[in-house]
Amino acid sequence: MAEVLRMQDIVKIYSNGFMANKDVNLVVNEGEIHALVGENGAGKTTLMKILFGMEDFQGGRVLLDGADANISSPLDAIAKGIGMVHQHFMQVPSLTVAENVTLGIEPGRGMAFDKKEAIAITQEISDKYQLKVNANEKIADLGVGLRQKVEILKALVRKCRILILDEPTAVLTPQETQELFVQLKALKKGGIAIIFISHKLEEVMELCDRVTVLRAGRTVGTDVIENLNPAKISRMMVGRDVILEIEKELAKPTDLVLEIDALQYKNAENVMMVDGVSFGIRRGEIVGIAGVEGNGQNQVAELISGMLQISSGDIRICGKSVRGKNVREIRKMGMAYISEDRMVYGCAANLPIRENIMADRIHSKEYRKFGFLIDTKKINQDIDKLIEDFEVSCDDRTQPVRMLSGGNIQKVIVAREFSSGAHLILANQPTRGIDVGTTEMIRKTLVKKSREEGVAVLLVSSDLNEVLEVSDRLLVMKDGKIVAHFKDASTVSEELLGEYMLGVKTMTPEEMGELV
Amino acid sequence: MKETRKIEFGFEIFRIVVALAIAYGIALLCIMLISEDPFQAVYMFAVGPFTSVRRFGQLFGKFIPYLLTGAGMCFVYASNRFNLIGEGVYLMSGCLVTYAAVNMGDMGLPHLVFVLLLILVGALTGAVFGSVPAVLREKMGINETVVSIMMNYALLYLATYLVKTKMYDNSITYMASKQIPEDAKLTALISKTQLHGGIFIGLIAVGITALIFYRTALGYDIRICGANPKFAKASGINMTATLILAQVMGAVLAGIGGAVDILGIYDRYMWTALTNMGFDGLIVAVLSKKNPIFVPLGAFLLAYMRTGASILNYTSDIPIEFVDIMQAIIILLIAAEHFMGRYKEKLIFKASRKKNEGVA
Repeated sequence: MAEVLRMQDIVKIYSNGFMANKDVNLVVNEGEIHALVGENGAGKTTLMKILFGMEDFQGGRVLLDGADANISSPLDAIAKGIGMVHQHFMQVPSLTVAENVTLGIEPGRGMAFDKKEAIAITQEISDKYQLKVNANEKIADLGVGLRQKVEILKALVRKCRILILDEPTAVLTPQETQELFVQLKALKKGGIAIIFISHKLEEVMELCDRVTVLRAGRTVGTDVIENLNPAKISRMMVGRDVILEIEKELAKPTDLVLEIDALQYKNAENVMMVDGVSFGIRRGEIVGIAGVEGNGQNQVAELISGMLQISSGDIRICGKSVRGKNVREIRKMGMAYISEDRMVYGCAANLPIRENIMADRIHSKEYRKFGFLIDTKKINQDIDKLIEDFEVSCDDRTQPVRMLSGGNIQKVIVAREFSSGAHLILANQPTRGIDVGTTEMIRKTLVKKSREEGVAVLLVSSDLNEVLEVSDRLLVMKDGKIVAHFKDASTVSEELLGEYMLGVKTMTPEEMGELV
Repeated sequence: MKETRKIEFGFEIFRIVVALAIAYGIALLCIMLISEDPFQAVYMFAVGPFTSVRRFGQLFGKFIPYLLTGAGMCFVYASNRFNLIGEGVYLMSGCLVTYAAVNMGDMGLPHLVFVLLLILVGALTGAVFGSVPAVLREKMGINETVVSIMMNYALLYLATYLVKTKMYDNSITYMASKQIPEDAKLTALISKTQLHGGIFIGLIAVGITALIFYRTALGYDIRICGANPKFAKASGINMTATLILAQVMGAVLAGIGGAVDILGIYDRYMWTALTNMGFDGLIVAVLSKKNPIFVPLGAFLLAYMRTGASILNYTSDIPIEFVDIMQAIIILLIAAEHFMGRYKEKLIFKASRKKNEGVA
């Protein structure tokens, strides 16, 4: 088989000095499905952004068909036969499939758009690869699985030879996943090279021909699938045999801290994102919410924190309702919040570590001096202590946060949220995309907080290992509803959890029992 | 990452120096091209402000109000709002302070009390008019830039109207107010120059601004709101109050600036066009990278350039407008984060490579 793509000794350094790719090598052949696997933050997405012309790079070469390809922009990448299906679809919901697919390459004469021709082109490619998409339907009326196919169609109509799929199954049901695999295999027969990014190893074993593993920005190796098994790949990914295990004593839950009652939330497009959720968390216990991303877990956390406004139902912290209160008032009630998107809601990148940690407590009386000034000496002492306790690797407290690595930025954020004296901690994807050492520290601290200080913890995470290891009780959300409740998370297997997350199984209210 | 930080800091200074060098280079080139006597012109432009006590004083005449409007604009700029009401407030404050001074002249107040009272009038003018675009923006989401620019013209014509109807001096032939009583004026520190007592007010204001920025909770709030409003909301900062306060503080300082300027170097109120002092405050804030500690530097630099230009104007054949071109270049190069950004990145990449070499 002919080699279509060679990425050779790629070096990518971000402008904060962080080296995301170090001499990475990737070779993809015509008509193969090539898996690119690695932990969060291993540099997969960065490498693909380089290939698709979204990021420039500082070293190495990208060769297409053996010749240097200077890919300057996504437009240029498309022209050179590279297609990318992003995790977030790039579509106009109010237009039809055919209109979306031909957007930018509209058939027709002059200013006139030839709708029939657009439909014909779309339908032809769709039929050729058995994608089973109706060109006449509106995007807004399609489900996630079909919308993803429209993305693939867009790439195919633009005559792509290399198709990049960035975690395509994260949003799909098992049936949709199977259907996608059949179609990807058909594409492969048609001679298209597919780069499949995933960390679901069973899928990789089932679908792919070769695997390239990245770890901490470097290539660990490439091998054909026959020589590999999930355990082997997993070892290559993390560089050690076991997944993280957290030791913890049995929880001794006492008084209710958080009570959620028939909570509903409709977003701006009037879609019911959270639909009748009720549960409670007691002092000293950790409750996890698992689920495929986008099933309302994030909204539950944001409603509790006051970032979103409740549509109906109620949330009470220590008996007091949070309705109509803003984030400041809710924080005063004893809530701390590690938000999902750390660069947007978790920190101010251009400000020093000190300002970032002080953000939620600068008005506190303990830092007041002469009535209107702040006690800089005390602030500096406290910040230095937190930097030391949480092992933030930095120059000093005045270093802007943007110069730190992802893991260290998250350490600054948890240093703030874990030291605010809260009795309810919301941890929303607390370890997403960060290194193993920091991940372990954050998980251990969550357990310590609940066991030693009696804090109630809500853990929202799409990392199954994390919710299973850290939670005492575990809830599963699907389509804005709670579909399962496990009284003891340690007895649940990833497979079983997966079945509830994907809606293969659903518990009846009787099976779930009391959710407090 | 220590390397990265050193590189960024060194680079920032380097970038400002290069920006100035390029701007001066272009200016010199322009002078060479259009002047009959380029060497004299260049000399006047570069060294002119230091050639006599009077000219040096003239530089301070600009430096003093720049301290105030610059510190004020630091508040506005650091909170990431483009509220330009300082321009209109500056002029309105000059007008109302003059009105108050003329009418209170025969009350026999002690000099210091009189002056402080007038400065208070300027500050209040800033607070009243400055709060309009700030409140409209933070409570109702109306664009502060549009409102403030429109209001600047409204204030200009309102001031002109006040001069015509309430303050006009019949004994003179041009449009100006009655004379400001001697007792109200800020004492000249060097007689017959524009270096007056207002400099103390300016420096105190800069000091207080720096204190608020780095030593009060409000300063933390303002900088966090400006750096990332979503983070400010998520960490529970009262954004509406913080942002209104920041913009009003900016206008108060501009108001004091107008008061100090009129009491320092004018005999009467006679501004019939926008003074540009408020806009220049924004330039000072940009030059000092929204850090009040650097405001005196930024203010001095701008005052030096403006004075050089005006000396050039009356000693040679170069029009004063041409300094605006230079200024534009400097601001552009300093404000443009990406100017020479490639070079900076290269340095950072090199350092990162070196660091990563050891960790194979």
